[in-house]
Amino acid sequence: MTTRRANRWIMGSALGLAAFAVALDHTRHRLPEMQPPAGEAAGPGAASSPCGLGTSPCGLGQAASPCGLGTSPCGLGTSPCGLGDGGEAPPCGLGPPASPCSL
Amino acid sequence: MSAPASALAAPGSARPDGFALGLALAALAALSLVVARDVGTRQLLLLWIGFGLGASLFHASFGFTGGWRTLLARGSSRGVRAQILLLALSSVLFFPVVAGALPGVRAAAALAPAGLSVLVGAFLFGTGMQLGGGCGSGTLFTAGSGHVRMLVTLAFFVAGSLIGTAHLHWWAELPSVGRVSLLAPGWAPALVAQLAVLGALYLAATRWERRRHGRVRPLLERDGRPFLTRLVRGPWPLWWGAVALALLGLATLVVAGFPWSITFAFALWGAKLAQAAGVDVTQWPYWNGAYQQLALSRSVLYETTSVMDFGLLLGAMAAAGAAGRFAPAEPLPARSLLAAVLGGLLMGYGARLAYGCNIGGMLAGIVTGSLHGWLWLAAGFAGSALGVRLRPWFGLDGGGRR
Repeated sequence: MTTRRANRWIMGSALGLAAFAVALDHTRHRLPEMQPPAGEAAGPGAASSPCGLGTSPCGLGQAASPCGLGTSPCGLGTSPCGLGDGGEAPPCGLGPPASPCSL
Repeated sequence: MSAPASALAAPGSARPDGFALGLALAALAALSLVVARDVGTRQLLLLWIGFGLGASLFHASFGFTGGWRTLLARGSSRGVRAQILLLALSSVLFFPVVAGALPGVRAAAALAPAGLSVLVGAFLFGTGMQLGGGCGSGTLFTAGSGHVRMLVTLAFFVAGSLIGTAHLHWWAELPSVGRVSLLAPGWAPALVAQLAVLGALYLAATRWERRRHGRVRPLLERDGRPFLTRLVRGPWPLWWGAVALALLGLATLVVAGFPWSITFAFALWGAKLAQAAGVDVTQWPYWNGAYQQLALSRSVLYETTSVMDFGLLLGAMAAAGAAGRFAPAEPLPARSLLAAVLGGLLMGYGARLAYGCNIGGMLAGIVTGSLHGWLWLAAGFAGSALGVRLRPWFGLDGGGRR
């Protein structure tokens, strides 16, 4: 029989470990900041960098940001399945899987 | 989905657990900040929907595992009737959406091949869920509410999912009739037919209980406590759970663009852990799919099922804290832990073969008109019948050594 106190310690430890693993995974997969070549100022290209880079509008919560919309490349939550992407992407389960449906 | 007896015990009088409630809300707030900043608003919404699902599952103790077991072992159909209500409500809500009948709303069905791999996988899953003590969502919400045994089930669920991804390409070669959409004749007639079948199942379950017990326990039961108190602290009547899950499932469908799914995340977590240990899973055919490759190459917070699963865990934790039922003392005999290990492995492996668990495979399949969802139900129920018979061997249900 485990005690309630012991269970709380186990649960707290498990949650802490999971949080550490997620933080590690998240920071490991974030792409590094794009460094402009030495002696060259950041050009207009820096402002329009792809999502996931430090200069990207992704996740800034700006209404005009494309991130999180159906046509955005940002995030896996933006799977093309059934979203308004002009019908070019296959629906779930047909053709190459593009969502977790039926995987 | 099944909750251990301690989670189902008559609650309502215990004081709220500030530790669990505070930890869950703090974790949700921190995760929300990171997801909103780095991923986007859509993912944030899905995190919160997952939180709502976890709280609903816990408060209603809404379980497929327990519902099937009580029907098979004791002839009580209440849980199964609540599941049929969930299937019917979700069908009414989902059919027009996936058929594109609502202007401006597009979402995909959970179509998967209906074949031998689904039959085998769902059977294994059904057996495993009775040994493990919970299905995909049940494992998550009981683990989130502090049941240590379910952490063991969850760990081996992840391991089983990873092993399943190594073998799925072989199973997928087995005979199948392919992806069959039951919405082909039109969503309206398909819905009428589906509701007729579900109605017949409901009547059969009711008759089964009446024959065994001479009466039928109603789904709608009154409780004298104020609505808000009951909403926040639980427990909820089963029908509240069915309605909440149907509505949150619809929210998932509209926001994500595909139905609620759970176990892809387990396979992904296993694959990421395996990669960290030096195993190159990218050599396995399963992980060469477009979605899988993208999921492996990016942070887990970009992957929808993972984020919803995190929300579900935290939602269950918060609900258990509000109800004063977080991390109850529980017996953990070795044979019960062995059942948790086996159950987790069987569920993980079976979910991959069956293209999802009872949520992503069965519920999502049935309510979006995929034939494989019905196959999943039949095979999963048969597997559960075996699992119920095996439980006493592991000292579950009060069974002794045999």
